[in-house]
Amino acid sequence: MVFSSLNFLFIFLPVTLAVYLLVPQRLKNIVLLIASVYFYAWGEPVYVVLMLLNILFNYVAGLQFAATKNKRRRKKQLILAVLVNLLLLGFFKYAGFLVGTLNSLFGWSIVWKELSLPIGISFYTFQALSYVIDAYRGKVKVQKSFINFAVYITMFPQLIAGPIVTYSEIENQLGRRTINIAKAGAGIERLILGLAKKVILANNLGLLYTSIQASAERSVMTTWLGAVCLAMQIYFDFSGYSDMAIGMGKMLGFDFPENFNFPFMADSVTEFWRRWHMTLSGWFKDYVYFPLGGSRVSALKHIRNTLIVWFLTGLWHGASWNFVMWGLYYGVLLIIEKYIVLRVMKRLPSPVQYIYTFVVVILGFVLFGNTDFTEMGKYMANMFGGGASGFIDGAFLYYVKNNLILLILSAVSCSPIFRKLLNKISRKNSYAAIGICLVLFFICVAFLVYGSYNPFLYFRF
Amino acid sequence: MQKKKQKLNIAEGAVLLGIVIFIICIMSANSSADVPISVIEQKMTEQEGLSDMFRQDAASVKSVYGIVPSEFMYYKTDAVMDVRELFIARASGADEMDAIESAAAEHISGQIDAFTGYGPDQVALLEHSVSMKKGDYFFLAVGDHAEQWQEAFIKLIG
Repeated sequence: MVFSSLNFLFIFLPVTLAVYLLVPQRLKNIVLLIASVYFYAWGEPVYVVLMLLNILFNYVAGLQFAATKNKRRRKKQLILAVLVNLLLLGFFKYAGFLVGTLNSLFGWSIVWKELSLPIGISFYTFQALSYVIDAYRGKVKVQKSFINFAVYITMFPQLIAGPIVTYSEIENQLGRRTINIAKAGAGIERLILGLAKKVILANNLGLLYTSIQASAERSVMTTWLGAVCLAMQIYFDFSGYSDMAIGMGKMLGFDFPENFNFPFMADSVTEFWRRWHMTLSGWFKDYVYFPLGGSRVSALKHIRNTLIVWFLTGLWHGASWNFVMWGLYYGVLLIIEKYIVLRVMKRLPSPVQYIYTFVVVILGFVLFGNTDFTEMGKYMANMFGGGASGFIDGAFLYYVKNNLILLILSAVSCSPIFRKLLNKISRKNSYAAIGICLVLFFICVAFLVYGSYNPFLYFRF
Repeated sequence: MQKKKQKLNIAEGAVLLGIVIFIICIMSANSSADVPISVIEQKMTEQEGLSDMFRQDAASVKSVYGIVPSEFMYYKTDAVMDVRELFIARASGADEMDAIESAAAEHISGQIDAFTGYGPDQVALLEHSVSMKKGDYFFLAVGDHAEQWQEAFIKLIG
């Protein structure tokens, strides 16, 4: 079940919220757990067993930390817990990729029976790891209630596509949380804004990109337009989903961390990654980068640490070499920025900084969006004139003319203008803000009823 | 305290055993070999009955099925009255698989509706269309050789 489906919006969510709000405080987590398991089982009736076993294992691992103060035993337990979590993720997500790579490297012909990827496994594994590592470090108290721990892992708003909520961020809210009208109202507004990003912008940008990508011949400008559409599609898709998750979290009384902060407003790649998928960057910083020594080491070790983190970030996104390339591309760029470019760039006029960041980021999305290297190479070559049908063609003008409103709306939505405007209206006249949200919601429903293109890109991770 | 530790160790072992059993069960129940779509396409096009059908691109899949799967091969003819087609897709997850399955079912029922009343041969072919899913793969064939194509496909993905 996806958030942007009529079943979810008109049946699952209202029924769950009604029951959740009606039951007394002590039953709220049970209701949330049942609803979340049902939500997951709707799309993954088989893999729900795997998720429950995973929860049980990590819950027991936590109890093991509480049961012993012996440092060696605790360390052994941590290693076991981390290994089991990573092996499960590796088995379901990377085994086929590893076998394929070995086969092509050494000319072997190992046959691997490919299994479908359990939805959200990358997200819930990282959440479980944050719990066991922090419980080992003594940063969080061991969770004694199985229900509370299972709610932490399974909460339906963030279960299948994040944001990645670390246990320490939500520990206190698992036992008791406040639900009030103001918070619920803010949650509904956020849910609708996220839905609009997804349904009105991301889906239509996706259609435009698919159409451009499928063209046999493309001019330079058409290719760039396609790449920009792809970048904005991924942004609105994922940030829309995060907005919906944060909004629903508020409706249930939770405060989830922010995941995006207008990344296309960044004036450097370093800044872009402070604004894009912030919960994933934060996770890698806390559990990989800092334990490796972070930046408080020699330059050589810092470069090694950065490349390890970005190799893993790329790999986290998918079992394919294009994701690894994408991760390392950013790793190298961040190193170059830190040691060379950033000092020079800060002296340049801000439009130059924005243009540099924009071009570099758009190229990154072409790496990200193409698992087929031949297609990727052809697309990149087109962007710089290689094999392109001229600099500009009729197709470019046709695409721009027919999608002008979509493109303008998308470009403006990449900036905080709309949010600031809505906040201003909300402060002056809350009824007007409610009216705007209602109109947006009806437009989204109309798109959902009449449209069939509604994929969630981040589900594959 | 010692008893509690023992109980926890037993519980941990039991859960790990449960995970291993689950993996064994799922591997034997629903699996397929990891064969790239390009290889499947190369082998399938050697099959009888496909020589007069043409490779279709993403835009064509979009217009017929309303979705564009992560990986696919799609062959059909250009003739308006010819309903023969072969569509094989590889989904990146259960959600995409669901979307592909429902899009294919919708397409076939739409085709039956369109030809009912004036195209009895086409309706007969559509009613005998063959579809299946195995592992990440989805297969749909309409045509006199549909079952033969299905057998070839199953052999390919194991």
